[in-house]
Amino acid sequence: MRKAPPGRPRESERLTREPLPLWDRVRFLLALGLAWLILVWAMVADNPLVGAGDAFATQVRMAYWIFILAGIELIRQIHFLISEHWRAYHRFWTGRVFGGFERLTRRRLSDWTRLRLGRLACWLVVLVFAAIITGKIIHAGPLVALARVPAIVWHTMPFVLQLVAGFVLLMGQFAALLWFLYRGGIDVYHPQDVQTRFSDVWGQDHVLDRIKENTLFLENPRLVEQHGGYLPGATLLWGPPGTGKSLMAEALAGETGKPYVFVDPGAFGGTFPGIGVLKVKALFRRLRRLALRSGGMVVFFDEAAWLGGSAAAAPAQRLTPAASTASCHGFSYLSADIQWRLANQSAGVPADGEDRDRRAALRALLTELSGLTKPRGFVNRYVRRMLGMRPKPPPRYRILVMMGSSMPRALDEVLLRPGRIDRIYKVGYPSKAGRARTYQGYLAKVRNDLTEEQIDKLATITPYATGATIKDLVNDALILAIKDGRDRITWPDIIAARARRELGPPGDVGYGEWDRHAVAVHEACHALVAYQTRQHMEIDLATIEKGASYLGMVASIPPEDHVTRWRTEYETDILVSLASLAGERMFFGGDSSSGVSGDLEQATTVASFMEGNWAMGGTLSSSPRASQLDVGPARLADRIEDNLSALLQRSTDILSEHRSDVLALAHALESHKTLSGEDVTAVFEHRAGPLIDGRPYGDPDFMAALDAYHEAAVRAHHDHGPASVPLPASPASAPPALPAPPPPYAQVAAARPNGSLPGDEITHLTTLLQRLLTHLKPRDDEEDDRERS
Amino acid sequence: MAWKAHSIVWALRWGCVLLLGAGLTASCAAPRYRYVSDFGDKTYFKVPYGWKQVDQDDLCGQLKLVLSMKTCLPTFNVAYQDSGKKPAAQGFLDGTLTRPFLFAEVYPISAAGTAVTWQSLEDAFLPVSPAGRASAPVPFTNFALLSQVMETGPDGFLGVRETFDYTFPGGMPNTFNVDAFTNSTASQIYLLVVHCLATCYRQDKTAIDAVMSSFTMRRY
Repeated sequence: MRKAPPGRPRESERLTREPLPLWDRVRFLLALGLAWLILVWAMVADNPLVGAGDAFATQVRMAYWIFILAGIELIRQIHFLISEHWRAYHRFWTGRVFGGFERLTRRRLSDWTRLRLGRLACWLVVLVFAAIITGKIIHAGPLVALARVPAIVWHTMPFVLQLVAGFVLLMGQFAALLWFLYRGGIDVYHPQDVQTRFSDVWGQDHVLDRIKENTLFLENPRLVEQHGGYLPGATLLWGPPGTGKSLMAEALAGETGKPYVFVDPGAFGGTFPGIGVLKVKALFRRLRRLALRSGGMVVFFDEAAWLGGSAAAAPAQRLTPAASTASCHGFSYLSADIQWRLANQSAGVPADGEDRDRRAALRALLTELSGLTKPRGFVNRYVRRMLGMRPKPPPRYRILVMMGSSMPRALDEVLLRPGRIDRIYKVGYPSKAGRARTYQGYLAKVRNDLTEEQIDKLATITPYATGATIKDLVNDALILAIKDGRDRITWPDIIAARARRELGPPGDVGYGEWDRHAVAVHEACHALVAYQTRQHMEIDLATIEKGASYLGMVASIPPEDHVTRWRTEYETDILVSLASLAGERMFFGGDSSSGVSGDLEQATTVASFMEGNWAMGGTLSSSPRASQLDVGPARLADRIEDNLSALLQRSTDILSEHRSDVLALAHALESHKTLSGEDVTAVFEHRAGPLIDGRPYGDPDFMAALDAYHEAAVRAHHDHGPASVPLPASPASAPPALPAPPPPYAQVAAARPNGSLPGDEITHLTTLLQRLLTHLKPRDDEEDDRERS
Repeated sequence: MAWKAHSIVWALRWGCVLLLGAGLTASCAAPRYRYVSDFGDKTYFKVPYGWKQVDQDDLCGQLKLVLSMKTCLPTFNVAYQDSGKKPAAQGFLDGTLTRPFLFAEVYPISAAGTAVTWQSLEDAFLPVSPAGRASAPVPFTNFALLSQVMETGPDGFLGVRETFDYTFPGGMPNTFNVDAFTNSTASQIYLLVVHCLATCYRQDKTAIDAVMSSFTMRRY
C-alpha cells in the first residue's frame, strides 16, 4: 500500500530551517551594493573635481556603515545556510538561544510589559534611523542631528503651522465629524465600577452555572493554558428580552475582577458607510489593550442579531401584530411560544444601505475575532518577514466574548460557526421558583409587607415575567406606595402596578351604550368558552376598558409551568379565539364586527402550526420543510379552513348551551368594566365572588330582564336608533366576605371611601387613580410649603 | 541546451563576484585627494589625502583672535595642513611652518555698494599691490611677488591667483599662494590661501599648485 505523501511540515516540526530562495539570500546585499553605488555616483555628480577612482576610494571610507551592514547581512545569510543543513545548529539557535530568550521574557515579563517594551524598541529603531538620516541631511553626526532636531522643528514651525492650519480647516471638520460618529455605543467599565455579582442574578441558575465555568479562564488562565487549554470562543445567550443576559456577563466580570465592555446594538451603525468597520477595529484595539493590561476582560455584544443577522432585532411593540386595528386584545390569549413565533414573523428587515454597512461591520468583527490569535503589528508582520524572520505570535489576549440575542435564528451562520461562537445557551423565561426568587431578591431591596404566600401567588400570576419586568414591577409598586404617603410596599401596590403594566393607560374615549354592550358580549364569549374548555389556564381578568390599541381583553394565566403543549390545549386556544365570531353571529342575528380580525389571525396562526408543523391535524409532513423542498403539502389551506370551521361550530355549540351565562357576564362587565378571574367564575357559578355577587345571575327574573335588555340593544343596532331599555341594575345583596390574600380588584374596591360595591361607570382603575391623586395633591402642597419654609 | 544555460548562469554569477571583488580591492587603496566643498556656495577644491583638517572650533578661536571678534564668522571657512599629527589652527599665521597650511573662506562683502576692484582682490589676504602695501603696512618685510595672474572665469567670476614672499619678523621668508575671486554680482569673496616657508614651498610646489589650481566656483 502506497503511503500518502506527507504534507508540508509545520515550522515547529522542521528539523532544519526551510531553504531560502536565491533572491531572498542576495536581495539585501544587492540593495546595500546599490546604495553604495548611488553614493559614489552622487559624489561624482556633486563635485566637479572628483574622478571615479577617487569617488570609489573615498566612499569606501565615508560610507563604511554600508560595509558593516553588508557584513552583518553576510553573517546572517551564512547562519541561515548552516541552519538549512545542520540540524543540531538549527536546534541550538531556535530552541536554546531564541527559544530560551522567548521563554525567559515570558516568564519574567507579563504580556502587557512585553507589548510596551516591544513598542519602545520599535520607537528606538525609528529614532535611530531618523537620527542617521537627519545627520546625513544636515551633514552632522547622528547624535548631533538628534540634538538639533528640536531646533530644526522650531525653525520650520511657521511653515508647519501653516500646513497644519490648512489641513485643519479643510479636513478637520470631517475628521471631527467622523470622530464623534465613531465614538459612543461602547461602554467600558473598569473592575472597581462593576458591582454586579453572581448573587445578583436570580431565576437563571441553570445558565448561570455554565457561565460560572468561565471564571476559571479569567481568574487563573495560566493553569488552563499550562495544560493546553485556551479561552473558549464566544458565548451566545439567547432568549426573550429582559431575562438577564447582559446581567450575567456583567456578573462574570464583577466576580473575576476584570474590565467589562458593553457594546450597544447600534454601536456599529452610522450615518456614513464604513464607520461601522472603523468602530469594530477601534473596539478590538481597545479590547486587546484592556485584556493585556488586566490579564483578561469580558465584552458583551447586546442584540447581536443586528450585527450578525438577517433581520433587525424586534422592538417590544412588534410583539402585538394584531393590534394595528381596533379589536380585542387577541394576542393575550396565546401562549408564549406562539407569541414568539408571531414576533419573529413580524420582525422587519433592514434597509439595503443599512444591511450593506452591517455586513461590512460583521466581516470586520469576524476578522478581528479570528485575528486575536494571528500575528499583529506592521513591524512584526512585514518588517520581520522582510528580514527573513518569522513573525512573533501575538500575546494571549484572553478576551471573553459574550453575545446576547432575542432572535437567535436571525444570526448569520458565519457567526454561529464553532470557533467563533462555541457555546449557545438559552436564557428563557424564569420558572415559577425562579420568578419567586427574583421577586424576593428585588423586594429585599425595598421595605415591604408581602408574605411568602403573596410572593408565591405573585410568581404564579406573572407567568412570563423576566428579571427586568419584575424589577420594573417592584419599582412601579414602590412609586405607587410613595405617592400614597407610605414607604412600604403592600399587596395592593403590587397588584395595582401589575394592572398598570398589563393594561396600560385607559383610552380617553367612552363607549356608547350599543358599543359597550357589543364589546361586553364579545369579551364574555371569550371568557365563557375559556371557562368551559380551557383547563390548562385560568382566567386572570376580563375587561372592556378601552386601551390604546384594543377594545377589551380576557387574559389567562397558567396556574403552573408547563414544558410541553398538547393538541387539546391548542384546540382550546382556537376555540377561545373563535368564540368572539361565533358569539357575535349568534347574539346579533348572524351579524359580526371587524373586531374579530385579531382573533381570526391568532386562530389561523395556531391552526396553521398545528396542521403544518406539529402533526396535530390530518397532515404528517412538515410544511416549512416541504416548502423548502418544493413538495409543499397539498391542500394545506383547505385543511386549516376545515379545522377552523369545525372548531367554530364547537364554539357556537358551547355558547348556545350557555347563552344566559354570556349575557350575565356581559352585564357584569358593562357594570364594572373590569373583573378579576375569580369574579368571572363567580358570575358563571352564580355565587359570591370577591367583588361581584354572582348570585343574582341565578335569578330567572333578572336573567329575563337581561335578555330583554339584550334584545332591545340588538333592535337598536338594526334600527340604528337609541337603546330603549336601560342597563338593568343588579339586585341588592349583602357584600361578600373578602378572602385572604385579597385578589387585586377586591382590594381596590375595598379602598373606596364608602366601601360600597361599584355599580356606576367609575372603573376600578380610575378609582385607584383618583384615590392616588387625592392623596397626592395635599402632599405636594405640604412639600412645597416645607421647601418654602 | 540546459547545460549551456547552466554554464552561462554559473559564469555570470562568478563573473559578478570577481568584478565586485576587484572593484572593492581597487577601492581599498587610499584615494589621492580629499575633496572639500562648500555646497551652499558651490565652491570646491581638493587637498592631498595626507593633509588633515584643522579642528573647526580651534580655527574659530584663532580667527576670533586674529580678527578681534567675539563670535565666529557665520561663513564657510576651513583649514588643512600637511601634518602627521592633528594640526593646530595656530599655523594660520605661523612663520615657521615647514609643511603647507591651507585656509579657505567664502564670505559676503559686508558694506553694500562697496566696489570690488582688482586691487581689493590682490590685497584680499595680505597687501600685495603697491598702494595696498603703502596704506596698510604689516610687520612683514622683504615682499617679493613671484607670480600674479588676473583671471576671468566662466559664469562671471573674476579674480587673481598670486604667489609672493614675505618674511615674518625675526624669521625666515614664507611663500604665500593666494587665490581671491568674486562672483558676477560682487557680493562674495572666495579666498584660498596656502603658505609655508619658502623652502617648503619649493619642495612641495607640485602638490601646492595642484591644490591652488583645483579651486573652483560655480554659479549653478
